[in-house]
Amino acid sequence: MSDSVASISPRGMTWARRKRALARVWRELRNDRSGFSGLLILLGFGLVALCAPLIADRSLLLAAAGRNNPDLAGPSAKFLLGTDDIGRDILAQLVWGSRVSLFIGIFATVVAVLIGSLVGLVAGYVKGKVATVLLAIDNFFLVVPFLPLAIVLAVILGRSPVTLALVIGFTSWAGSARLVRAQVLSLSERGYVERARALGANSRHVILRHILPGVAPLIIANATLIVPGAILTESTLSFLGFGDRLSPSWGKLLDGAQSSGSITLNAWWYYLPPGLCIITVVLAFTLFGRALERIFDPRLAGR
Amino acid sequence: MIDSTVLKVRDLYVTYQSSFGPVPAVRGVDLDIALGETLGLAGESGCGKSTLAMALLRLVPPTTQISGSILLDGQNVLTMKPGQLRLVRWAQASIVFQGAQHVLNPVQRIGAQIDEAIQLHHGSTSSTVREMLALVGLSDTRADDYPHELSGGQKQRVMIAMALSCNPLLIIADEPTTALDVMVQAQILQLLDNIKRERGLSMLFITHDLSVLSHNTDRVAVMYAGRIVEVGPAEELLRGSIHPYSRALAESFPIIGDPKSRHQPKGLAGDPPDPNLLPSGCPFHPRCNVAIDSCKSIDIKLSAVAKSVDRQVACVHANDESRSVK
Repeated sequence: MSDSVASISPRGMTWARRKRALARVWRELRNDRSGFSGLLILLGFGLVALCAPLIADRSLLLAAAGRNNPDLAGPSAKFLLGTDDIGRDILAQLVWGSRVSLFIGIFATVVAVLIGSLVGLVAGYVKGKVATVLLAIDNFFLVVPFLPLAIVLAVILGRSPVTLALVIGFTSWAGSARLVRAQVLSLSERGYVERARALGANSRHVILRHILPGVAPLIIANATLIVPGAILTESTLSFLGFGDRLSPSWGKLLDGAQSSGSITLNAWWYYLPPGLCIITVVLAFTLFGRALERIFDPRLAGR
Repeated sequence: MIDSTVLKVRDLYVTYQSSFGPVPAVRGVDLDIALGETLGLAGESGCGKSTLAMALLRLVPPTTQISGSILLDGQNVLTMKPGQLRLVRWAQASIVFQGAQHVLNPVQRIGAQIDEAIQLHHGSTSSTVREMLALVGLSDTRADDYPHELSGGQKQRVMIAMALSCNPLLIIADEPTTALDVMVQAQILQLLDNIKRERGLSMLFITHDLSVLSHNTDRVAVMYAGRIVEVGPAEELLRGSIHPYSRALAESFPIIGDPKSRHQPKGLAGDPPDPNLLPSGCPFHPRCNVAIDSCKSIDIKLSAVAKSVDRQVACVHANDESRSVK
């Protein structure tokens, strides 16, 4: 009400407040050593994936590319990470593989989070018979052996990266549905939800205006924790030979390493780099996700 | 007379479903509120006053049974379809909730929350957030604040602004001044009173604080164990209560200028009865100091008092000479 406050426009104040809120998240993330290092690692991998064409030409991935190279040669100046069983550069495959692995990991997570949030919102808000049915389906997906289901779906739906991501997303939403439902149950008892009903709001309005904003931070934090699972699943499916034959993912590299006998031949440059990449990215996502969870979830604040 | 009645409640029963079985929270209540009139509804915690208020707009859990009739501006709320009910909510009757800090969404700006009501009924109102804030004495820079940036009194003003935003006929004020200090309480009561007079609104004012009712209300109804035990003009009822329960309520407040009452505040022993285990006969008899044997068996109904045309009391002693209206 003083002059200094009145001279700033409402819009300007809103922006200032948003900036402050973002700055708070950034500051807390900076202070969270493990979460911040996770973020840095992810940014590094993201950069490599985006710049793949600059690092290695795509033609290096073709079977013909290795025709004139030595097979299963160890690291050298020409091939920094050696060659595979048909003479192709492993570094090139690793770099291009990061694209496939990250794409499938993130796209599968988007699918899982969309299904999980929708089921969780409805099951938490509607209650009654609809909720019972949804929770039964949710329980089914929680307890059903995950890998056989994913394999069956992958075989039925085909093997492009997109269908693979859909399969992984479709089989990993159950946990986030539970999480969202629990939060919705708590939010829908709040006073402002009752007020919104008294205002004459319908369920759609109450959900979009009051409940979804309350669960959104939880959904975001949960999503970063689903990504590593999705990347591991993609690797598993590819390793088992259910991946896309044409696109080079880290899982497919491992599959190649295993079937070419590189382990018995002690060709460590074939199986070690993709394995390390998978572990590092999964770890980085987990560290980053845990940090976001700590920042966004008030129940974990100060722990 | 009939035409000017904004709210007409007849034989209202509200029964909650719990895991222990049905819980009767409101048991046969009749209420009338005329245009421009304020009815005070008083009683202890748990006597059913908030349940009654919420039931007026059917804001009770879906498993709750409601019977009787609630005529709001001539339309029966209990038989409305959901869409029609949503239109009536807030546009015909709005609520000033107790505990504004819980009722405002902590992560939305004040202006957006007032605007929410306006947007939901945009066909029927042309109010703006700015007008509404001015009406309750808040600067319009407040529209961009979050609830935690406001004091308790300011939050309650925001609730009042919200309640007025759709030009309702009736405002249900559900303990609007609890959790506010006495100075702010007085400001909020004054504000409600001014707005009510300016706009010719009717109000149902719910409180456990009888001292609040004497200045603000035309008539007062006292509720006990889900029923109205005494109703009458505010001044008359507060100065000369007939029902022993309303008398106990009135006597629990000191009277300014009477030092004796300050040094000997009178309370009422015991707790209000559990709605699941209501005493037989008159539900008040276990706590009543003038109960007679017949009180244990006869459940006495609200009926007119011989001394005054406007008053009704549910007590066997209602027409005793010794307890006449002063």
